[in-house]
Amino acid sequence: MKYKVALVGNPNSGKTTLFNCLTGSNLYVGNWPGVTVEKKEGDLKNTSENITLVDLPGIYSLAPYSMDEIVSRNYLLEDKPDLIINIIDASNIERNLYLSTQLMELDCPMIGALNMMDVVEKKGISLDIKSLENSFGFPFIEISAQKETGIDELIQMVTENIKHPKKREMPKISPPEITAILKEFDELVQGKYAHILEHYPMAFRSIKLIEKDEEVLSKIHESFGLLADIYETRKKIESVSGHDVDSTIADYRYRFITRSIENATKIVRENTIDFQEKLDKVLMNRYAALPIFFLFMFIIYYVSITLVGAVTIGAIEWFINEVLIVNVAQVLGNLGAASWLISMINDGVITGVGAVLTFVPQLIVLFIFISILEDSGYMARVAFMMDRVFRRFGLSGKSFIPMVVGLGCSVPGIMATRTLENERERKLTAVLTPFISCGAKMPIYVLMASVFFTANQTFLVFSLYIISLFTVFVSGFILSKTWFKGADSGYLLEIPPLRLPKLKNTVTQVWQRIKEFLIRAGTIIFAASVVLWFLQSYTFGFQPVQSADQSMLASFGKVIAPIFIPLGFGNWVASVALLTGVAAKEMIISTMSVLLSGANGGFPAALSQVFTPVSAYSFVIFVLLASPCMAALATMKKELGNWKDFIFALAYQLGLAYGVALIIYQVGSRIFG
Amino acid sequence: MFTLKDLRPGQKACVDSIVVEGIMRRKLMDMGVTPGVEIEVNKTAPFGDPIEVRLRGYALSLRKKDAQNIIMI
Repeated sequence: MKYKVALVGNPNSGKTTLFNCLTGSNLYVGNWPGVTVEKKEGDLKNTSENITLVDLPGIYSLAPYSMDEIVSRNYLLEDKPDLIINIIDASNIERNLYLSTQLMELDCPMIGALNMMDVVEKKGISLDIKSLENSFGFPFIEISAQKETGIDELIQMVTENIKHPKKREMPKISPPEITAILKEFDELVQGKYAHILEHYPMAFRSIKLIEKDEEVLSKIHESFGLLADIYETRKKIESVSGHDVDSTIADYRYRFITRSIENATKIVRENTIDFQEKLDKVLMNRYAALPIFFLFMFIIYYVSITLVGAVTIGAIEWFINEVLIVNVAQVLGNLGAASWLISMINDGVITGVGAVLTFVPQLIVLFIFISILEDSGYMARVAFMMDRVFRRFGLSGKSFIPMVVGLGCSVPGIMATRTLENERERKLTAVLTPFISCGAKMPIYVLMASVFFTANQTFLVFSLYIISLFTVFVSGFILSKTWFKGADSGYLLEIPPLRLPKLKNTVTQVWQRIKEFLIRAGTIIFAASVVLWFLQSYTFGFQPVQSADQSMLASFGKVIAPIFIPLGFGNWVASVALLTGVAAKEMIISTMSVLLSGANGGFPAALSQVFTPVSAYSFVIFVLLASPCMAALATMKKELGNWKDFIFALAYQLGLAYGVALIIYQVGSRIFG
Repeated sequence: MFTLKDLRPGQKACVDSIVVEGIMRRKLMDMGVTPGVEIEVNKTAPFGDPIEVRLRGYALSLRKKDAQNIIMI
C-alpha cells in the first residue's frame, strides 16, 4: 500500500527545506513567501513504509486567492492525503497556527512540525508541546529543517501515525453560543442537503458554506433553499457575536490560538535586539534603502562582469584556442582523421560549445549573488520598497520578485508570477519578466562590450539593465492601460526576517542553475553547433565551400538579413545568430563564434568587420528586448493560458525590440557617423 | 476616530474594525488583523507608501489605502 503524506504550511515556513530533508532531494529554496508554486512529490526516506511526500505551495488559509494557493487547497480536498504534516514556523507561531485551525476541519490525521525551533530558543522562549497537543488535539514535534534536527523523530512519527491512525476528538475552538449555531447548521446540512458536496469533510463544508466561499458556492448550483439557510445562519451568528461573520470566525480562531500559546510558552529570558534587526534598520532606512539597493545591483554586475571576467575570459579563450584546438588538430591529424572531421570538431563543436563555456565563471558569480539576495529575505524588502513605483506603472511590488528571479532565467521568473493574486497583474508581469535580461543573454553583452566598448564594459552592461528596467516600466504603464487593463489588486506582503544565507542553500542553487546551463551546452548547443558547422561548410550541392558566403547557411541568412538592415546588422551572420538564439540565447554567441572562427585575425577582429560599435549596441538591445528562448516562450504561453494574449505578447516583445534598436541605430549612426 | 494609516512609525494601537468588503477584508483577517489585536507601525517605504507593521510577532506590509480601512482604538 502506497501512502500519501502532504506537507502543508504558510508561505516561507520552510516546507521545501523540510521536504528536501525528508526525501533527500534538492529542490529550490528561497526566503520569500511563494517560492514553491507547483506541487512536488518525493519518497520519504528512512522508513519501513512506502510513503509519497507531496510538497504543496504555501497557504495562509483554506480560502484561496492566488493560483498556487488553489493548487494546495484542491489537492487537500480532492486527493485526500493519508496524513498532513502541518509545518509551523515556530518563530511566527500565532499566524502559522491559524492555518492549523482550518486544516483541523479537514478530518485528516495531522502532525504539527514546529520548525525553526533554533530561532525560538535563541529568542529565549520555550514551548510545551504536550500542552499544544492537548489544546489542538493533534501531536506536535520540534524540528529545525535548516539544521536538520528532529528529522528522524518526525519520520518515525509519520510512519507510526500512518500505520495506526488515531481518531481524535476535534477541540471546540469557537465560543459555546457560536458552537451551538454551527452545530445546528451542521445537522441541517446533513439532514436536508446530504448530497451536496458529500465528499467534502463535514466541518470544512459547513464553515465554507457559512463563509460563502466562492469556490464552494459555485459548486452547489442554485440550491435556493440552502442559500436561504446560509443567510439565516449568518444572521444568527451576527446577532450573537455583534460582528459580521468573517470577523467572528477569524476572531474565534485567533482567540483560541492566543489562549493555547499562552498556556504553552515560557519566556526563559528577555530577548535582546539582535544583529539581523540592526542590519534591517540600516538596509531599510527610508532614505538609504534605495541608494543601497542600486549600489548592491551595481556591485553585483561590476564584480561578476568586470572583475571576474578580466581574469577568466582571457584564460579560457587561451586554453580553447591555443591548447585544445591545436592539440586536437595535431592528435587527430596524427591518427589520420579526415580533415572534415577535424574541422567539424574544432570549428563546430569546440568553437560553439566553448563560446558558451567561456562565461561559466561569470555566471557562477552572478548566480551566487542572486541566490544570496533570495535567501537573505532581501527580495520581499525590495518588493516593499518598490511597490509605490510599480503601482504607478500598473504592477505591484510583488511583480519585482519574478523579475529578480528572471535575472537568472526567465522560466522560473515567469513561473514565480503565480504568487500574484490579481489575474491582470499576473499576466502583465509574465509578459514583462522576459524584458529583464536572463543569465544566458549576459555573455552576448560581455562579448560585445569587450570587443567594441573596451573602456566602459561595466557601464555598457549596466546601461542595458537600466534600459530593461525602463522598458518594464514604460511597457507596464502602456499595457496596463490598454491590453491588460483592469482594477489593481491589493498588496499584502509578509516581510520575513533577514537571515544569513546558508552556504548549503547557495551552493545547491548555484549548482542547479549552472547544471542547467552546462546540460544545454552539452546537448542543444553541441548538436546545433554540428548542424551549423555543416550548413556553413557546404553548399546546397554538398560541396565544401571556398568561403562561408556560398554556404547553405549564408543563403538562409541572406533571406532574413534585409529585415535587419535598418537596425544596422543586416548581414547573414547576425541574422542566423538571432534565429538560432530562439532555441537558446547562448546559441547567439556560439553561432557567431562558429561562423566567424575561420576568419583572419581571430574572432574579435571578425566581429568588428560584421558590426560597428553603433550596430553592435543596436544588436545587443535587440537581443535584450526581443522575445525569449523557446523554453521561456512555452512557459509564458502556459502562464498566459490563451493564444490571444500569447500572440499579442510575442508581437509586442518583437515589435518593441525592433523599434528601440531601430531608433538607436538610426540616431546613433548619425551622431557617431 | 483614527485608522492604521494615522499611526507614525513606533506608535501602536488596537484594531477596532475593518471597514472594507471583499477579498481584501478576508485576507487581512487571515493575516491576523482581527478586532482587538495590537498593531505597531514599523516603518514607511522610501516613497512614503506602503507601510510595514508588526502584529502577532511578525512583520506585514500593506498599502496606505488599505491601512485607511482599518479603524483603530
